[in-house]
Amino acid sequence: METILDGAASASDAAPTPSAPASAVVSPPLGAAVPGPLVAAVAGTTAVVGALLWDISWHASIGRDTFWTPAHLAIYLGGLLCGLSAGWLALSTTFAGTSERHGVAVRLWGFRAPLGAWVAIWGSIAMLTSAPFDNWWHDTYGLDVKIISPPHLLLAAGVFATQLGAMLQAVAAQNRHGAGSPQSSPMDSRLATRLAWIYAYTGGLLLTLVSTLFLEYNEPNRQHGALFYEICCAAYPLILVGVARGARLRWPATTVAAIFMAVRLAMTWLLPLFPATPRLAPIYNPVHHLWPPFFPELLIVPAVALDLLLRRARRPGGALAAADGAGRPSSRAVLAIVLGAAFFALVFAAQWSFSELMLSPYARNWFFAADQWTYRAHPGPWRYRYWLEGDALGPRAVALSLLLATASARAGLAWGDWLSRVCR
Amino acid sequence: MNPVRLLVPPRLLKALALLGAVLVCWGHVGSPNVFYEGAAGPYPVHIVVRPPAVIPGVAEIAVRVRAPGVRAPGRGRVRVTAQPVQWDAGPEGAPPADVAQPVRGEPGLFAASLWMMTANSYDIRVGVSGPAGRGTVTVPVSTTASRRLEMRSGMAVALLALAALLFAGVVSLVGAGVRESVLAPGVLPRARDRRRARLAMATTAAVLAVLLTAGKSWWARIDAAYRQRLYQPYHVVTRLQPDGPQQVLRLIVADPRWHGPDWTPVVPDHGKLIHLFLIRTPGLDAFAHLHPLPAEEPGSRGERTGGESGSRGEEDAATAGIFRVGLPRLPAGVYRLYADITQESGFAETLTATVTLPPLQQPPAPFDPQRPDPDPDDSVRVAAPVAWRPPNEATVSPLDGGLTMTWLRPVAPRLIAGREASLRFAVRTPDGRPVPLEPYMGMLGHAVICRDDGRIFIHLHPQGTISMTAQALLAGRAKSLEARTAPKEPGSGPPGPPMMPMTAMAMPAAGVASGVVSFPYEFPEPGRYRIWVQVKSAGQILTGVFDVELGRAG
Repeated sequence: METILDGAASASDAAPTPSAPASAVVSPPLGAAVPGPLVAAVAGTTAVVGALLWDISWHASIGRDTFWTPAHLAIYLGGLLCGLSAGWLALSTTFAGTSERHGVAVRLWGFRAPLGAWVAIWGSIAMLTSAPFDNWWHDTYGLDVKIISPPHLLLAAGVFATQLGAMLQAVAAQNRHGAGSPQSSPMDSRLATRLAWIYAYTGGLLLTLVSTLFLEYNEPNRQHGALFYEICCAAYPLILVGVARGARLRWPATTVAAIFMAVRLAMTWLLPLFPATPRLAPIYNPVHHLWPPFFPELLIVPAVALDLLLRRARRPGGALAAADGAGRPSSRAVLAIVLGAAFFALVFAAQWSFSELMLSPYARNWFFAADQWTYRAHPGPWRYRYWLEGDALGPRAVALSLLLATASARAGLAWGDWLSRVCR
Repeated sequence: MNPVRLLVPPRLLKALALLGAVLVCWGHVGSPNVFYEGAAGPYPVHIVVRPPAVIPGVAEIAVRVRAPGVRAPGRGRVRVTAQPVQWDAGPEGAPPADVAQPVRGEPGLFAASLWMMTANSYDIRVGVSGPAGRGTVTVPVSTTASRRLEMRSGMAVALLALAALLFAGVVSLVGAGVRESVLAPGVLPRARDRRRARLAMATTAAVLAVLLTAGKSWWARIDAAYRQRLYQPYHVVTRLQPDGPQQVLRLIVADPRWHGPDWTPVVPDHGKLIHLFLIRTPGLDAFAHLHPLPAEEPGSRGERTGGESGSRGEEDAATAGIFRVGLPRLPAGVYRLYADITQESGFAETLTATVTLPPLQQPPAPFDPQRPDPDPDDSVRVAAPVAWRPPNEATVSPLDGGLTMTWLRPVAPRLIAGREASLRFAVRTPDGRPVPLEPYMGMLGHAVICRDDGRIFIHLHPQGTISMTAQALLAGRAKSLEARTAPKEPGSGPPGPPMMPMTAMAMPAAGVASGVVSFPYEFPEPGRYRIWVQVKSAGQILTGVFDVELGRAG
């Protein structure tokens, strides 16, 4: 027996249609509610991403660090929630799972669980491994003053994996539901919509996580320089295009970018409401509340264009559709060039002018938080100038950015097409 | 890119390597802990600061308050605070003070932990408040990164095992993903899926291996950069040349960091820019305590200019990092040099070098008023080579004029490495009466402690290991910063540079009359040590010599 439909009929009135794509063949196999482990994973990753920004803010405004700060605990508890819920899923699927649940699992080292659960388990083990490693690192090389260090990269890999695990669980659940199929019951289509939104939300969190990793290179002061655009072009098209290709929403990249901006803005506006005092000398900048991360990149601008282009690519008959539909590597590359160029052009247009606003006196308020500096930041005019030393945005940097954006978009297309087919 | 490498042109490095003496670089010469004996307002305090070996890191601070009310249990109304103030950030740039916690079972002892964020000059401000009011005292601490922790093998094995698990996990995950993730529910993977999965797993393993290799070399770069930042005193080269009948020793700071961003001018500590100690190896038998003066390079503009232009020239020479001193009569041999300097930032350190002295020739020339050296505060002592005669190390050292100096070593507790002790010495006449002491460079006494291998060296005073000038500078700077921020009163001018007259230093009257001088110290490591104790009486500098061998605690 190759497909398992036990219990499917009782769970849903929808019958599989022979013409439907493979991913939509099966109606909800696990009931009509959002699966509990997925809810736990989403809650866990939300905690991790929020707490990461909280932790960075803690380092920037209070500074003193032990393992036992609330932000650290929230990161690790969030990771643990993802890992434990996934672990439970693996154990229950392996030892007590129905054949229906076995059918939506992948096998690893003799155990069975959805792919997302395995990724989340890996992530939480990586996070836990990073804790003693990071502690040793602090004892050996001193309390870190930089975000990027080997144990932090391991932690980041772990956090990424828990995040990705939640996203894969969401996308698999979404793909197993024949959303928009005319036979769907209203309840079923509500669930499908809910799953599509949960997936987009996990994509937004993933984008937030990526941007957090580059937080110390993305200040408005760098947004007339080369590095900023190179980082944006390398990192963001992959996420935006990839998540969008796997999504079932009308404006998926826009939604993902909006969720990223909403999460960041929530932290920008909420964190300063909490009083904080620096606990480490030297303090060059008096800080009285938690430091808010600066106003996020306006990724919603290129995301709208990516959505429009991706939609055009799906529309039959057009030039882009020819590029996408042909399925040949060379045609995909054409689509990637278009997406990459659009991304770079719009990020450039948006950030070049927006950073001018950010450095102007009009941004020195709670809304833009451009006047919020860490306790270690010396006062001085450098705060509201562009830092262009050794970072000029010349033709080479533009070419490199375009190349990176194209490569990133191409990888995003491949990843997104895979995501749209994941159903386990 | 390493900033130090950028600062040092390779040619200069080569030139440094070729110049005269071989340098020894033993960060702060093996004795980093800071001891301070003094008073915080009305409260006599004894403060120990154990700076971190890694920067940023945590300094442990112990404060013993010697006030009558403190010892009585249940009346612990004394409150002790500690605050780290980095010299250039001042009190405004300091975090709120930490409340030091009373240590259980040790009335009057309080402990706190403070984060030291930079390798710099800090002022640990200890505040004591209680029934007698409030008082504050400044303890200068120069923080440096001095070591790199090795990973313990157990931890390395555990981390490697986890790394292997994570590595295998990624490879298997990619395999499972490629093999099964896009199959419709319930569909079993076909042979083609399995083949593709194996290919993906091999590719992933290869990519991961490349990434791990790159990560390892990244780690190695971070490690190398950290080791580069480990504290090293300024490079000093020595030159010896005869000047008439006398040998003149030149100390030349040949280091690009001198004048670098962390450098500030050298300031006098108890009246002298440099306290230079020459100790002959290997017996530690010949000892000289000298005070070099700034000098210009021979051949450059007016080496020995007189009058008004002289002070200007000296200032330039001090800034240039060139110092000279006429050597007293010392037996030939290889000498270790330890030069204590204090910078305007309050950063105090010991520069080290070696020099080989030729056999003695003629007696030194008579005192010439045109020559600032020999400094009247210079002193020499030649004793028998360091020796240890178990079980009773000599506790009496003969001095000039029939006087003796006795080490008042308590029988218990035994002196051991890592345990703090007060080293007390009494100067007596031949008939056993105490010899009244007078200030020697503003201090009741100077003690110099050196381990026989030269790797541990410290110059301390009854007030402890701190540089009194650094303390005055830091306290003065804090006051001037406060004055700057406080509302100005009419007629009050800008605060002048904080200076410390030599006579203003603490001279406990009891010690002066009783002929007893004591030094708070903790031998950092086991080994064979020699202690020189220098006091002044009736205009004579007297140097007692003692040896001690210490075992490890427990």
